[in-house]
Amino acid sequence: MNRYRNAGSLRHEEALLARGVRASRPPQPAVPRPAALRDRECDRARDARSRRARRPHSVSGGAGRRRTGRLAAGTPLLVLLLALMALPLAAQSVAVTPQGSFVVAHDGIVELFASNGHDRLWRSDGVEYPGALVAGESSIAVLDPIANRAVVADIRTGASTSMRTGETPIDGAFVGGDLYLLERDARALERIAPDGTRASISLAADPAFLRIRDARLFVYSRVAGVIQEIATAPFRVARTVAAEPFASDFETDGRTAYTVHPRDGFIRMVDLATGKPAGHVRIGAVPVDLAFAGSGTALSAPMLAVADPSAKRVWVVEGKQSVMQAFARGFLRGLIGLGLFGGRESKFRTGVDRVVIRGPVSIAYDSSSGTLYRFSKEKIEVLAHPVAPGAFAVGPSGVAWWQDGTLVAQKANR
Amino acid sequence: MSKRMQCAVRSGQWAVNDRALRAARCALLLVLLAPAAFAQTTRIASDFEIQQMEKQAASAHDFLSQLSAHLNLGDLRLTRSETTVAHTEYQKAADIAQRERTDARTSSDLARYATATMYASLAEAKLGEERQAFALIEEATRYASDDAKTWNVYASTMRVLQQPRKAASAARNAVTVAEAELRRSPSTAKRLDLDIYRYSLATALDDAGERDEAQRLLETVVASLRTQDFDALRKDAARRESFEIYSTARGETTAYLSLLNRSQLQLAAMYERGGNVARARDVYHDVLTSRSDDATALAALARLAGSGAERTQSYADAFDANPFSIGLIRDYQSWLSQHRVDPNDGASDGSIIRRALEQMARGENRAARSTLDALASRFPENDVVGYLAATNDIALGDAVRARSRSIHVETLRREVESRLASSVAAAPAFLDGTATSATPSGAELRHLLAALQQQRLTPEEHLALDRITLTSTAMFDASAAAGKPGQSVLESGTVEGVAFRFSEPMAFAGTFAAATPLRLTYRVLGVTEVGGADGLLLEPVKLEAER
Repeated sequence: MNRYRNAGSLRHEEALLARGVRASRPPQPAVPRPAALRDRECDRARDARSRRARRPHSVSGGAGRRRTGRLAAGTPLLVLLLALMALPLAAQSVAVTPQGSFVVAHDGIVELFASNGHDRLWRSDGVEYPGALVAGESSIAVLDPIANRAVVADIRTGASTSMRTGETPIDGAFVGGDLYLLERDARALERIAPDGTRASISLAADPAFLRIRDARLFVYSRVAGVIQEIATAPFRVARTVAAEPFASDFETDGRTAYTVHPRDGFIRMVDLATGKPAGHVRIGAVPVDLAFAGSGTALSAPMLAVADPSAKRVWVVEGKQSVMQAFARGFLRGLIGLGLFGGRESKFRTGVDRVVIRGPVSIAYDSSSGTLYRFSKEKIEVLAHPVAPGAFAVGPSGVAWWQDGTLVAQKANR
Repeated sequence: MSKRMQCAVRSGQWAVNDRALRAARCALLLVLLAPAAFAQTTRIASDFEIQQMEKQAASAHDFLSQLSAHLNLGDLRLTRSETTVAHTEYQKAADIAQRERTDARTSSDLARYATATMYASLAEAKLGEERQAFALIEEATRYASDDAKTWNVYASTMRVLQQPRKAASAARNAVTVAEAELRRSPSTAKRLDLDIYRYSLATALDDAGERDEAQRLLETVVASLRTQDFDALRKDAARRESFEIYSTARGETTAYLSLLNRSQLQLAAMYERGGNVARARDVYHDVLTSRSDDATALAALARLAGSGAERTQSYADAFDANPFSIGLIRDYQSWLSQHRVDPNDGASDGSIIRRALEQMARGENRAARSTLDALASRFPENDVVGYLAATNDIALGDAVRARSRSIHVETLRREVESRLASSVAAAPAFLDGTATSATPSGAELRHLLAALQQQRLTPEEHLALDRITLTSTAMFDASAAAGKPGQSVLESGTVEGVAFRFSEPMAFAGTFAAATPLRLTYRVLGVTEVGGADGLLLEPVKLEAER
């Protein structure tokens, strides 16, 4: 059953009303619970939700602890945040290089700052509308998805080259010095070598996400509903694996692919070795964004953080465990998916729809108000507002964001 | 018609709900009453739609009714060159959508949020806010990439932003999603949805230059709309005497009529551009069977008319349907530059605009000023009236008055500024002496054009111009006509950035490619219209490859 309908289409809405179905689903109450991503967990989660929906529920996390259920409207901070919601934010992008320095693209320029966030190392020409910023070992690339341009700059000197790309470059990655660009509306992945040599391969419909793991590239195509693994030498689609279409985010640890589906509230997994579905779990009300919260070990599953703007929470759940991991942790516990990390969800003042976690730094972001949060198990704090989408980054040295023409950095261990 | 206008006119967002159907039923009385009420005076074709949308904006309170009313009003005003009013309507639509976004997000209703966000994007695009529109539509698709209508609005937004390849990609997604939905649960409504998305894809492909696929898709859409699958909608339209065409259609019947109208117009335009005049005329006539005052079809039929009488009548009908279409006005000016027409004394707004154009073509600029000033007092927000009045002022040598005219369409304003800049130019120096040949600069040719436009050449300068042959580097446009083997047929192009044409296509011995610098020796015969703007009418003497 669809839990989440797009009311954008009156025609669509009419069809729903004719069937006696509400056009939109009331937000689900926040349900703090542990979850491991297993098929059977799905039913358990549904049961648990219906039980909890009938009783007041407690919320863990500093800010959320003082509230119950849906956030009461009218608090001064909330009013302030929402009043600023409609403000247009100029396109700005921030990224972290492997060396820990920060790159900022804004107002047609690119700047590199030292890891302290204060010392500007160089400034170079950029693009008019900076979208994704891609950082490699020796180069960075800033992409303009509207004008179909990329500027590639040398990290050491700032010397830059501007180039035309295929239609709508939305993401990229450096592998062995080569730049790989995901050109969504060209439905292509293009490789640009340091000497300017270019090659391109066709992808499935709506290639929306590019991920890199162990020098392997993975592309999830949203409308086609496939994950394509791309080999770099030779440059080709190594294999194509079916997945559920229409995910709002995609992550992979190289073994398992995770997609999150806001419409029905599921996280779905695909075993990349077998190419088969590896389970799914319902999580929160409208889960939108995924991040690895812990990489897992030989004895534990990876942890996933899930941003849910409807519940105003970030859920933390376990990813898929291998049989060995499950066995090592106790066969029964592994089988039914009872994890060890219950109650690690957090409630925010506004609905967060992006989550980024690097080491000890966990960041959540509300795209509609431009509010940037830092959170931990114990505490949620507003770092900045308003911050443009993409104008923040988390690296080993800490978090940095671009606000009012200034780069602000906060160390990982404050 | 400007690119922006075309986009706005063609952008297709379609939506239906039961409330819309109820509203349509309420509106039925007006549909029946309106023709009699308007019969007292000649009306502009979009008057009725504007009246309906203003009523909807005033009475409806729900988000989608309010939004569609203001988007439609903006589009309708834009077709009439009322840019300022159109902008105000788009701003209202954007404000409404932003408020809805805020409310939806506050109440954690992500479905409403996604909907409001995509419409906010469309409104921002119509306001020319490219970055904001792009960011918003990307945000909407995060939540609703499984929704064909979201992709369709994405495509419409990109077309407004003149990003045809992005539009085509989004429209392909809409078609893919809608085809799957139709396979899962076939219904008339879903067939109509699918045809709407195919139309969107076709228009985006056409913009992107992928004409073959676009034409095939449009033929599929038009054929589909004529099948018995849509009998019920056709009967409903006939029963309710519905004829309204909206870019944001509400109600299945209105959506059906709007889609049939737009897809036929688009298909006919493609046939026309491809040189298939007979098929184009047939399809334009099909448009007129369901909407006899469709301004676009009437203008096209005037352009494609076989006889002078037919053309004259078609132009009269087209101007009555929309007196303020810049495309139609340019077509008519082009026709007037080569033909004399009898003075018309009609009282409709279309007749008055035609009269002004005819007066300007005959050089009766003082009479034209009187005609245009009377129109400007009745349509003070109309950019086309301001533009025509300004160009007429320039012809009268009244630069001060020309500068005072209100023109908000950038292309028109730039054209007036360019003419103003040229208007102060004196005759070029090569007409001063007794030389029989010269190699003029671009600036000299522009001065010559301005002097000819304003009839400022002295008799001596006219004699010099008759005597002198000029040599310049010319870049020719590709010609539709083909020559014999070993010949090149060329008709128009630019010399030093100044547009020119010959009186008819000329066959030159030798092979000369278009868009390649060539050495042209020529005489200047006068001023003519080239691609909607003034240019030099030349008589070729010799054409050689550039040395």
